[in-house]
Amino acid sequence: MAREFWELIGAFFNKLVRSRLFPLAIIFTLLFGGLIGRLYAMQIVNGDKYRENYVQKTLATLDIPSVRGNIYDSKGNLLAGNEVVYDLVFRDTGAYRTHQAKNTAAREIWHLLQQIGEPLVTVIPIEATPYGFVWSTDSPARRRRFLIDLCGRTYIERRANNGEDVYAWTATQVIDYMKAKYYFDRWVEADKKTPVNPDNETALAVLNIRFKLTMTAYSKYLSISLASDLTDEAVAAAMEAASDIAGLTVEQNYKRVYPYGRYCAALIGYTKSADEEELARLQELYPDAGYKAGDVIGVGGIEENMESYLQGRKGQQTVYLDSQGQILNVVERTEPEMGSSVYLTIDIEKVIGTYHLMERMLAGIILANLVDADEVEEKQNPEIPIRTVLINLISNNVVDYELFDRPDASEPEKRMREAFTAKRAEALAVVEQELSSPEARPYETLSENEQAYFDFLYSDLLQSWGIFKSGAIDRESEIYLAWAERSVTLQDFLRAAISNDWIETSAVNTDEKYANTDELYDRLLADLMGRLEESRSFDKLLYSQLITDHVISGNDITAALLYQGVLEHTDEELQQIQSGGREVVFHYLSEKIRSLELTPQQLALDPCSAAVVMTDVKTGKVLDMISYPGYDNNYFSGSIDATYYSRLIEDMSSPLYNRATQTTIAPGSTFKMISLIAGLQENVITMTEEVNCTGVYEKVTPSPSCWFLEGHGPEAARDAIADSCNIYFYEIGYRLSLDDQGQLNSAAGVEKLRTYAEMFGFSEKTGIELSESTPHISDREAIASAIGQGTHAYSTAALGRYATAIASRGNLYRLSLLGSVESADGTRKEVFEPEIVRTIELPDAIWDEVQTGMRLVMTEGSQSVNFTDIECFPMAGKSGTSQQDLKRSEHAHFISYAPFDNPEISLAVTIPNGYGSSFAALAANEIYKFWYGAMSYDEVMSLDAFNLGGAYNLND
Amino acid sequence: MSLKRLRDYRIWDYPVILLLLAAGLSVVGVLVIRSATIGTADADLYQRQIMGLSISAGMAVIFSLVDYHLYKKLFPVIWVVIVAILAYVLIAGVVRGGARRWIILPAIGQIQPSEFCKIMLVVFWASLMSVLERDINKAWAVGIIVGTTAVPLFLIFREPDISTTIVCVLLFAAMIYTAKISYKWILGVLGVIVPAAGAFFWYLFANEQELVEKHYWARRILAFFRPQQYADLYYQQENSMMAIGSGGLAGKGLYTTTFESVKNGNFLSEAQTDFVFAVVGEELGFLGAAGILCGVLLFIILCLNVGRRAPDMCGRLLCTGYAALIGFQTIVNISVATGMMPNTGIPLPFISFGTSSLLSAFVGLGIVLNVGLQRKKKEKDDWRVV
Repeated sequence: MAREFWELIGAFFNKLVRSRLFPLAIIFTLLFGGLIGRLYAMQIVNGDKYRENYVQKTLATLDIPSVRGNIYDSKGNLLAGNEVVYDLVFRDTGAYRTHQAKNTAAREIWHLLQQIGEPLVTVIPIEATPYGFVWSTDSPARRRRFLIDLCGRTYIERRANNGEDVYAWTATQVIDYMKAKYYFDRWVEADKKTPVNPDNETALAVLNIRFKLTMTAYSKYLSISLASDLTDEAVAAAMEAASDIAGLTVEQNYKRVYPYGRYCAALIGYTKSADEEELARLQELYPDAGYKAGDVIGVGGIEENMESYLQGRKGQQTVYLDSQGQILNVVERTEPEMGSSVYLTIDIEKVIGTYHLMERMLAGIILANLVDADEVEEKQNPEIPIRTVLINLISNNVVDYELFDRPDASEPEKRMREAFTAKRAEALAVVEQELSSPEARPYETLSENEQAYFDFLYSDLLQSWGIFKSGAIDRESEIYLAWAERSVTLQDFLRAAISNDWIETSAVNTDEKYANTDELYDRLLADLMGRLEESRSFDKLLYSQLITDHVISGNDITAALLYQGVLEHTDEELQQIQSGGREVVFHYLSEKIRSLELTPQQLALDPCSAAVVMTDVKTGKVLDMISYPGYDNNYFSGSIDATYYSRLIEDMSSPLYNRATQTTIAPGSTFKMISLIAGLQENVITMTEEVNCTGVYEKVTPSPSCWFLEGHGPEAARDAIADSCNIYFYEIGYRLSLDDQGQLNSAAGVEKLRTYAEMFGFSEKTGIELSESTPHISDREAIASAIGQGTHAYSTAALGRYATAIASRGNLYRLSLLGSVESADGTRKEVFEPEIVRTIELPDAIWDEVQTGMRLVMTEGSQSVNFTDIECFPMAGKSGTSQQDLKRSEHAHFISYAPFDNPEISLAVTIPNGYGSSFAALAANEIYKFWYGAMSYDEVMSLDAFNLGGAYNLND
Repeated sequence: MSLKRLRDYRIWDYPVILLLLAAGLSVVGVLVIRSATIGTADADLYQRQIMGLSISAGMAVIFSLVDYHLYKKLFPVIWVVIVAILAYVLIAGVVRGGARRWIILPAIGQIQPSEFCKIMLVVFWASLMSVLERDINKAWAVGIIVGTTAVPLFLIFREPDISTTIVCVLLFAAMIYTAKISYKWILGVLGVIVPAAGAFFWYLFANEQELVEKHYWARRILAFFRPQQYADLYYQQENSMMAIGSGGLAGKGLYTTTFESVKNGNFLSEAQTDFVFAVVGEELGFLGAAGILCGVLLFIILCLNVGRRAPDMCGRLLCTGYAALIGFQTIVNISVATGMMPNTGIPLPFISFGTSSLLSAFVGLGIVLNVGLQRKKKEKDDWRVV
């Protein structure tokens, strides 16, 4: 047996060695066997592992966005809501495989958009002009991010290794790269022969669409947005076209809308997609909410403050995705929860009326002080020359000077353009000359206009450029002091700045790191000239000089106003303006101010702003709040409209600033009640003690005076308040500052006043749900501080809270706009109860005295004179006028509460640069009448400028 | 020698099993192609495959009736045709995916000539080597053989189609081995190739960066050895392995619509051509995949058997060449799909979609059938003669 076996083996090996086919067969068998073994290992041994791995790979959790909660006023009017809008979107369904097909489809989409008149939502920061492509962003960071997204870091690094800086590509280079990437060179028309040669606009549109598709190539469950907020006609046209273009649909989305825009924008805030910083902040604040990049969040106002209530809760689905990100299977789905509704305590109808009332008062103040003159005396509360109005029409973009260039411009506009062009050329030449010549003329030999150029260069251009290293300039140095008094030229100063190393060389456009001083100066000069040429502010300076010098007439500017369509007019009026003299201009503009067709916001004069805070005395809830001027936050909704935003930034009346909570001003005489309380509580004066007011307080030098120069005579507590007698309160300040030895120690006095100011909440923010500036209690000059000057700085909201404390006899509330929150399904409701921060404990007698004094203000005291022809609402109040700049008008305050005998509401009105507190009081009076129904809404809205007299006779 | 006539063929010797096996594999191919393309824009590919199959089957029958000795007479012509076709491809061919491998014919559409060239090379080599049978070990004979081989192989290499070049080299080796080249030559060549390969790989790894940038084959090879670094290139193989592995014993079933399917997840590229085996593995499981492998192995061995019984060296070479063609292509394709070799683009015979591939496989089968019909009258196996 064994022998046969070995014979077989022998025969086998014999065959093996001698045959050729047999080994081949063996080899194949072995190889195939190996493969089978491999399969066994993969499928049987490790099969489960592969299966699991695969499932893991494709399981994903996707968010479903929630609808944001609404914001209502106290009557249920919608202040912030969501509107359904229709967006045109495109999903890559795989129907278009080749570059050819995709490019052609993209082009069809572009044509559709042009046909329906909707703009394409773009992602590429490049614009197409007839002359080529340019970057639409100046930000290097933005360009970098885009290029990284486009080319990938690996490519950029590789290019860098070859010495090419991708980040420095011109827009044209980027477009060429993209055209190559998407095979534009192979793109042919339907006949398959003619190459497609798209114009720049079309090419850019196609590239935008292709690029967006590339960005979502692995997330195909996402669609790309082509156009948003389509009109109904556009939707119809798009639906028709959708049948021809696979993957094109109209999607329903929500857009945040603010029906009352500028009236309450400061209170409401707006919404936008969170950027990285905001995202980090929210993730820290609300870790359970699951905030992700791109989420829509609230910014400013109630939108921000109540973010966690308004956001709602995102839904989620767990899905299996394929390799392109298309959803294969939905495993689980939780529906999103709509955000809760927030009810505020304000009444929007009253807010609108109040806004209008303040605007009318501002217009009245302007008209009362407007004169048809070129020069006015420099003093406190100066007159307003018509010249300033004309200048501001241009400076505040009411008349757009850039439109003077358009081919169909009117005669007056062309005239102005010519004058401007000539002057600009001259000005630039002078500046360049004086800054480069070794024989530059000393400052005092320059004309006033020329001096203005250099002042502008220094204070506006150089400072905003950031050319000086922060903190580097030595303000004690000779050269600095010399320049400060203008005894050297700007050239001297700048050269010195360079050699003293005060200049941030990286801000200057230079390649060499260690250029010598002269070279650096030349570079600096070149950059400076460049910036000057592009500076709109400089243009406006030139226009203001042209107007002042009467090179441009007021008639031309006013005519331009009409030609540019800013005001409705008749041909007659236009004719009159163009052929008449300056009195026509004065009359016409005054009329437009009176009718509120030209608003105080547009004119940006002193005054152009106002703040009102009305509070419920029993709860501390804010019922009415105004910051004039407001802005339209609908333009911010979603993504900030860049044009609108830059207009707002340029607006000299600063609409983005909340005058009620962010502007802090010295309170003036409104502070006097605190001084009285301080004096009484500190026992430096009694309620019946009289102080003799002679009109001047001589106990200190320099001797401050009373506003009533003839002197009030002997005054005691309540009368001192009623008459707002400065002398009485100087005396309190004086007495508080006396130490045991009878020496005057202002710091001590200020400390004592501080204690009482703190009592009334002036050291804290009011707690309202908006952003507030920090208040400042005066820390010097006790005597002046006692009448509300010194360095006090408080917001109107703080003043309102103080008024409420007096009206309620000691309740210092946390101010709040929040009434209640209700869940979207109406099942849960949370009411925001009033919060008393602290109770101010004072004897009844003091409250009585203070309250009586404030009532007397209206009936017999300083404000009574305003109400001889006008009926005074039954209120108690205190006016205050504070001085800041001796060459400008004073600020006007008025705090009050009503009804005086049984207080329900408090009202604080502030008009910065308002010329006099009477106007704040008169405005407050109207607001009370409106609030209590003595004036109807329609009546209020039909009113013109408040009649305060003035050069333009309102009784015409 | 005169050509045989039809009536000289031994009809009873017609190797039916070969036909059955080929048909079986092709049918599996059609089914799998259908599954791989269901619901996509290529959903009707399987119909084209059926059409191609019918044509190819017809061609097989035709060729099986043509006496193979004809080719032996015409081998110089065959060589010229090969070179001409390849040259034409290089000059006027259409580029797809970076390689110029296809030409467009009117009415038929796009074909890949290198598929036909493979079978034509087999025929050429069979003829040439059998003509030089007696002097096969002489240097001048080897010179002629290598020289005439170099030209078409070079043209293929330049397309560039490196994978086909490699397969052709393997074919050549198998065939010249069958032609009884002495082991001296074999050892001599190995002695050169092995160190050369070593040097090549050393060079590749040393100059990875630059080579990767310029040559796609460098990227492919390195992606195989360093999958993490070249993840995007290794991606196809990774997914293929994932599909196959997850098939388990019995697979997920043909035409599976489960979302757990790698194929359905669009993770398989070229699912109907290069990576068709991934679909086989996933949907037919180990049983199906191994079954196919066994089927092909059986097919190869049967072809070799026909060659054993062939009346002369030419016939034997034809069978061996064809068996090696099917065999090596299958091995390479499946090795790539299971991640054992760097990614190349070789179709799986009978199963992958592609008319050119089907046609050349069936034409070759026809030739082998013809050889089978003329086999020696010897009944007893006599391995020693072979």
